[in-house]
Parts: sequence; C-alpha cells; structure tokens
Amino acid sequence: MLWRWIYVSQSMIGAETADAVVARILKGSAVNNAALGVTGALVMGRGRFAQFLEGSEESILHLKGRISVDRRHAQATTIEFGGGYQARQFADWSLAYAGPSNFFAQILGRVQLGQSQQKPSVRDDILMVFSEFAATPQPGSEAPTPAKGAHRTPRASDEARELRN
Amino acid sequence: MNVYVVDDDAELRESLASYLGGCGYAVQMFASGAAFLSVAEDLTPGCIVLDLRMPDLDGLALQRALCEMQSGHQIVLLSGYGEVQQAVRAIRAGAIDFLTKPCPPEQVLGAVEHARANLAQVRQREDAKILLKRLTEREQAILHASAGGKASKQVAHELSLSIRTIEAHRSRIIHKLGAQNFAGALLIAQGCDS
Repeated sequence: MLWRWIYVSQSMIGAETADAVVARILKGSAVNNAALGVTGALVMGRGRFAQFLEGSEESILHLKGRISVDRRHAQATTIEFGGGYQARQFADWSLAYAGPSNFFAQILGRVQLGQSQQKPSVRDDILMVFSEFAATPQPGSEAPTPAKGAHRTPRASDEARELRN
Repeated sequence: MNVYVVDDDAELRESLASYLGGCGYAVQMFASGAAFLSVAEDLTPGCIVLDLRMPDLDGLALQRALCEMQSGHQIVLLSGYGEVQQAVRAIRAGAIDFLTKPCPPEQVLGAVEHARANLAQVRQREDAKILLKRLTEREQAILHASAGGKASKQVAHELSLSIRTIEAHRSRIIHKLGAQNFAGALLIAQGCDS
C-alpha cells in the first residue's frame, strides 16, 4: 500500500539566487526521491511551492519530517496525507511547472497556509492539477500507451469527489 | 511584437485589441480560430491572445495545430470558466498562461510581456545556432571543450593540440561569431544550449 503527502508552502528563496537554489533543490530531490522509491511532482509558482509525493509509508514519513524543517520554505500546509493507495499516479519525480503564470499563482494562492482544513474546491483544484500533470506526458516525451483493456487509474480528484459525496 | 487577438466575442476582442494597442503592441484581430489558422504561417511570430471556447475551432485545438506546424507563436489563453484540466494541458503544451475572464487587462498585458520575453529568448537561440554553423568542426570542438572558461592549456591537453593552435582557433572563433572576446563567444554557445 502506498502513502501520499501533498502540501503547499511559502517559498523563502530570494529572487536573486532563485535559479541556483532551485537547480540545487531539483538535483537533490531527484536523486534522493529515486533512492527512496518516491515519485511525484513539484509545482513552483510566484513564491509558493506545491508538491505531490508518493511512496512507502516509511519513505513518505521520512520525507515529510525532513521537508517540514527545510528552511527554504515555510508553513508547509498539508492538502492530503495518508496511506491505502493501490497505485502510483506518477511514474517518476519531476518538476512539473516553474514559472510566473497567473493560473498557478492563483491556484496555489487560494490555499490558506497554516490551516489544517482547506475549502473543498481549493483542495480539489490542487489535486486536479497534479492528476492532470500525471496524465499529460512531459513535453517531448513519448505519450504513455495504456495496456489494452486497462482501466483508468483512479485519480486523487476522483477520490476527493467520492469523499464528499 | 505583434499581438493577435482571437475571440468570437466582438466586444471583448475589440476592447482587448484597443488596450494592447494602447500599450504599444501592433494588434490584429481574428473572429475565429479558423480565420487565424488560415494565415498563421504567414504572420510574424507573436503572441496570440486566444479564447478557449469558440464555435468552430476551440483554443486548445488551435494550439495543437500551431504546435504541429511549429509556428513559433506564443499563446495566452482566456476562458470564461476556471477549467483546471484544460489550463494545465494548455500550459503543459507551452501556453504562457491561462486567464479566467473577466480578468483585469493588466493581467493580459503581464502575460503578453512574458510572451515577448520568451520570443526574444527563442530568437537569440536561433541567431546563436546560425552563428555557430559558421564554425568548422574543429572550432566547434574547441568552443565546446572550453565551456566554463577552461584555460587554453587545459583544452590543448584534452584535445591533444598545442596551446598555439588553440589560441589561433580561438581568435578565429571570436572573429566568426562577431564576439568581443572569447568569453563572449562562450556566451553565444551557451545561449544555444539553453
């Protein structure tokens, strides 16, 4: 059974050094996550981070502990945390988006940092973003070809909807 | 930079065009995706401010068609609804941004300005590629081996050439690339890789 942790946080990285720091974070995370068997994606938009992590209970708890005390960001706010997932959403870990778009700034900006509960629509939008990143192949990579007759893997946003119904 | 406003809503199309025109952009309006697509290849690469929902050819379909023809146009999508799936797909496929209507015109302008910066970067990369094609294979190898500002001595050692040969090639590289010095030539090569 897989565990997941999805959070949004406030970046503490200065604009002048952002590129170098981000490059360092990406390099470190890619190596570290691969070693832990953790997959997922990172979204960076205008001063906020959102990250989706999935893996064994042990590795997710380990990463959660480490990430929570990382001084390069603050107020890591949980959007979803727990176990019981049958399948991974992501095949690997990567930077899904980093840029100045209003779209991601708004989606991440609606999260009330430091609060244990978020509005369902805010939570759903974050989950939907990650589902969509998981479903859309990276530009330039081959489109995944699902096995014949394979069922669509349930997505986080489906589950969110089921929970509310 | 040219801006192409593609929207079936005449009122919105005209108000956006007039605002962006007032900001100094050369603006052309199109009432449908098909109307834009029919001339897309003949237009200077610019920024398309594109409505997502249009009757004949929607914004995402037009984006796909433009991607396939490698048009070089940058895209800013506008939508009446906060469609997260479509937005992620559009941005993933290279759109600059996805704005929900009604959005303040300054937001559209901000996205158009990002498009301009992107286009300038693309152009710089293409210029660098053309310049680098002027170099011989050996010159390209020397430029490549010198990445990160390596000293002639080290490059000479790596390529099993004399320092004098490296120095002679370096001055030819500077001349051919129209650079001020060898650091400038390295920057051109770097711009092409990025």
